[in-house]
Amino acid sequence: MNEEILKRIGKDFATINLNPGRKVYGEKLNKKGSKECRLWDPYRSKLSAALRNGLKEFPFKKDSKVLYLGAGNGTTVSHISDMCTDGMIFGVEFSPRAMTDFYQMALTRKNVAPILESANHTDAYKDIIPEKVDIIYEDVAQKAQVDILKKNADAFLKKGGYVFLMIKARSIDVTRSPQKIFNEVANHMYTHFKVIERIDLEPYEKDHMCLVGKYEL
Amino acid sequence: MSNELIVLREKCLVRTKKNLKEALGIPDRRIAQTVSAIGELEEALCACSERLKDWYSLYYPEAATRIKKQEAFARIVSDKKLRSEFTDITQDSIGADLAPNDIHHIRAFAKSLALLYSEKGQLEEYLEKLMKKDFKNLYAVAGAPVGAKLIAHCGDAARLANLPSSTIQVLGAEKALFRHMKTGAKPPKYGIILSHNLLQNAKHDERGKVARAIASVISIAVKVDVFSQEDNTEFLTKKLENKLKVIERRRLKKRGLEPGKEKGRSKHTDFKSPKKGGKK
Ligand SMILES: C[S@@+](CC[C@H](N)C(=O)[O-])C[C@H]1O[C@@H](n2cnc3c(N)ncnc32)[C@H](O)[C@@H]1O
Repeated sequence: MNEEILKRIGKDFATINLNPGRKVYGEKLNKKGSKECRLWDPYRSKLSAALRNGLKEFPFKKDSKVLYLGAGNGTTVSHISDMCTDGMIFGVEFSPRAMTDFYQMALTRKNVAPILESANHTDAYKDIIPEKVDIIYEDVAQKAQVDILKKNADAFLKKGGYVFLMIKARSIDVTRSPQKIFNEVANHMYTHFKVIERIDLEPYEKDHMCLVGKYEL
Repeated sequence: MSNELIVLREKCLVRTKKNLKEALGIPDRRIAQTVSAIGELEEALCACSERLKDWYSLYYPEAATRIKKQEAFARIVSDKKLRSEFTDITQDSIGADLAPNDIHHIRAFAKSLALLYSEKGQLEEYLEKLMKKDFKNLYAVAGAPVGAKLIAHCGDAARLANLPSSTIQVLGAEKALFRHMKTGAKPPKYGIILSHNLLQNAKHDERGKVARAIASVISIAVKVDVFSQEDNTEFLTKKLENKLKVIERRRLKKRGLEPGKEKGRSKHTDFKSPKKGGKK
């Protein structure tokens, strides 16, 4: 864990507020030394939930370039933006409603770039993101999520880059056991990624899993 | 931060702003918001009208019992000051003789409800216009409320147009559908389309078939609206009529009856294009 960009306050994780005094989603602000921190709510952000449950792989650096698929209204993106101050987070989101929030947040953060497209259509944004990124984070709650991840990795992820996949069992199949689904998804990943960590997100999210993979072909 | 990244972010902002403006401007979104607002007004008005009835019953329970229609009741209460203004209801009330100030507050509440009822009516007219203008085929076979709810459920009409008709049939009944998939309970026969006039009028044991017929024609209609924008309303209405006639003929045959020999009129065959508001 990189103490410089990721802080602990009690059992909470927190990031250093890029815009001191300003909240993004109603999170608590907290002074730590001379810096103002934003507490990272594990019930609102799956990456925080994964950290709470012991996530070890944490490749986010000050200058990371991150492609974030399914940015929603930008809750998690805002914390990554706090950490990767010299990098850039390209947030892809196809819902106009979610994008109206996300876009306004992006205007206030110099390292957040919003993209209103479907993560399925890599061609639609290939000219407005870097040739290669360091990390792809995906949280789209869709059946085809692994295919979407592979497609984006093949197009934009550097060799040795990392992927974070948040899987919601229900959005894949409501009838089968979540554990079976998670295994299947992990298996499905092996053609492209070495799965290096699996974190269950209980009790913060029900039947959700965080998979971390390394892009090694 | 590298210059390249700054330039890319600038491009993202410019393009997304343009795309967002465009996406927010499509009529589908106004339709979805309008039909949802109508639904929420309906719910609120129903709860508040019940309240008004109970409240007014402290003063004049005989009037509250007599006037059954909620909207009419709200208007009457807001218009009339005293019991004596009700000409055809007993003046010898069992209600309490409340002070003018007490009655004033009940009437003010009723006035607000009456206003909301008017607003709901205006929104219903507005919805009709929106649907007729951009989704005339869907409007012709589904009516404004059902067509709009289907669009709202999917977010936009393009997504609705990409769904198979079997899915359209049960849109809005996801809970029942999941229960069916999980536990093997009976699958739902209809979702949003249940409030379609033809389904409301259908015989109970025919509803599954009628729902399938409606959904299949809706599925064609919305495709026409989205992909070609032609006016096929006549053809589609005929098609739906014919499907329903076939269902009706089969039903009669099964029961050993000749078409037209059954007592009373068949509701299936007097299909007109759905009326304003539709039935809930
Ligand atoms: C669970 S939410 C994301 C929440 C967000 N990751 C956070 O933690 O703050 C999933 C989002 O993915 C979006 N989404 C789903 N499929 C998508 C696709 N194919 N392309 C882009 N966005 C998609 C949805 O609109 C929704 O906003």
